[in-house]
Amino acid sequence: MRLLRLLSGVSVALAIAGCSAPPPSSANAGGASLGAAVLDDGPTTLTAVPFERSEVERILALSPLPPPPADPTNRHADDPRAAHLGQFLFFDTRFSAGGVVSCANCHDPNTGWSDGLQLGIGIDELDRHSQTLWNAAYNRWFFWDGRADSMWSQALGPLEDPREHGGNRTGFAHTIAADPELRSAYESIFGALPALEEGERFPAAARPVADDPEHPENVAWESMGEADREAVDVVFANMGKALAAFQRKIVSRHSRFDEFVEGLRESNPTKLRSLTASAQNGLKLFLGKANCHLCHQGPNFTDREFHNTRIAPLRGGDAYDAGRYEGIALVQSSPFNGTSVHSDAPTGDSETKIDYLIQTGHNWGEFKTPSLRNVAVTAPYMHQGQLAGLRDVVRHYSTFEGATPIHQHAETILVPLNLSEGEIDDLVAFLQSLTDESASPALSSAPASPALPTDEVSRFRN
Amino acid sequence: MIRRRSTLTLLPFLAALAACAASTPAPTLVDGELTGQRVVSSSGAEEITLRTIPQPIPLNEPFELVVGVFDAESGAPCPEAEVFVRAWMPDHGHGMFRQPEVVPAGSGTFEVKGLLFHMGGRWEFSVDIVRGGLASSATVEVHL
Repeated sequence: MRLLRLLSGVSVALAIAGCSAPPPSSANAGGASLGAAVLDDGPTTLTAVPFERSEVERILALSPLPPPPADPTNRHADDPRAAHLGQFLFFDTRFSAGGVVSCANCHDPNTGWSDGLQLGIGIDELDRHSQTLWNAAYNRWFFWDGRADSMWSQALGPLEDPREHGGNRTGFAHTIAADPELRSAYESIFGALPALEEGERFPAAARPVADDPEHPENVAWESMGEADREAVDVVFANMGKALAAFQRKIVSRHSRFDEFVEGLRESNPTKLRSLTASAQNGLKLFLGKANCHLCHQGPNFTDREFHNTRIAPLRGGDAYDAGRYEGIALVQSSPFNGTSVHSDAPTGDSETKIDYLIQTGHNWGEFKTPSLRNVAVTAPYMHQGQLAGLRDVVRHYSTFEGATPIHQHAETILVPLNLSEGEIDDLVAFLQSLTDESASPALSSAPASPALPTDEVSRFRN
Repeated sequence: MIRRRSTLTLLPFLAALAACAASTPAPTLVDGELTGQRVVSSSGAEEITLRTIPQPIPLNEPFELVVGVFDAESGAPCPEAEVFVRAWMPDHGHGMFRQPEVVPAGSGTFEVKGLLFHMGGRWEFSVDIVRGGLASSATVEVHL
């Protein structure tokens, strides 16, 4: 009898691995073994809230979260020298107009690698909320509209956006070249900079400005030779690759929820107490009545794609933000996408990802599903920070009060959940159990030098 | 250099086919796995087989569908058929974020590339076939 139950558990495990979760190589690594709590026939007894077997199977598919997936488009993604340089660049305000903005302005480690504001503010106010960097390395698409297909190409956008850093790529290259330490750190990873000292070939401020051909920086860019423009683009892309190597380290994987799941696997009562009874109720709702798991699926609690959640624009009026609709066109035409000459893997999966995308009316107003890991420390929420707290988010899905009208492009599965106040409390308690900021301290300030200390370089090479 | 593959622009045509297929027999229900299931097309003229690579369909990971088209009477493969495939989530009112590409592979088989089911739940494969100047279709439901 015990053997039959064990075999039954194994077959269930296989079914989970195949049907309900990504394969072991991506999201469900380590989730193959089922603990004694699962093999019992009835509901779990060691948990504060009894979970049915089918619920336990779903819970086990949510943890552990494996390390971030490889990024073949960035051959420096896991080079600690690039990560160190990227950390230096991340906090450096010289890479902005006027020297006042760094990446950390909108992605402040003290406010959950976001900024705590509804709309981001660089040189000027933006149209959307600053997304947290926690677990961004697991994303398939970047920005709320997915207009970048890699973390390194995402990093390039804000650097030249006039409302964010307001910089330009030749200016960035000159800044690197003019700082001996920075230049040395860059060249030790990416090779020699172009001959930037030849000012006639490399203007002080130049970038392509597609929507304003008369812009002085565009005129300067057009005055450059094609090979020189390409050489500057390489430096620009490498900046993005260093920044991405750093941001890949901002990972959250060891929350109280993960300890609870370990408790389920091990039938460990101490670990099972990592979640309060309220949080366990919330987990049950998350997987059941509230159906949150449909979009917030897998160990990073996101399907990595886009949905229209019917959230009304922050400042009223019609929902003019096209979201994913524009994002698809932009990522397909990006000169820095995964199929471009700047990608370190321009064929195969990169082509599949870009080439099969299709822009339809359904994409209008869709925005990326965020991960829920560390969600409790990254308020406010939604693509314009419309909702101040987690209770407000849960209440939105519970009532859809003030939501944009449902139409053929909205998710028809989004219907009011009619949750009680107690159920809202429980869901919030569960979301709060997904917090783990332990990676932050070592990453939350600029290193003294852009170059990785010699002893750490040796360790990397050995 | 940016590579773009042309996508099929057949929406009006497919809409017409969908209308023709209103009398499609009840769809086959499959729990996550298509291993060569055989379905008769709406006109009764073809038998269609469906198989995915890998099996079962992985959630939120790319996969391929292999469609076989056979003459229902003789059982002979139909390499001359034109095949169009759409995947849809009827409960959600949306489909995939991708436009799949159908590549004839000979002997009446067609490889459908670029598929990815980003959510669990009920999905519907609609396979439309044009053969001998006539259109027919088949629908198979898959539950992830």
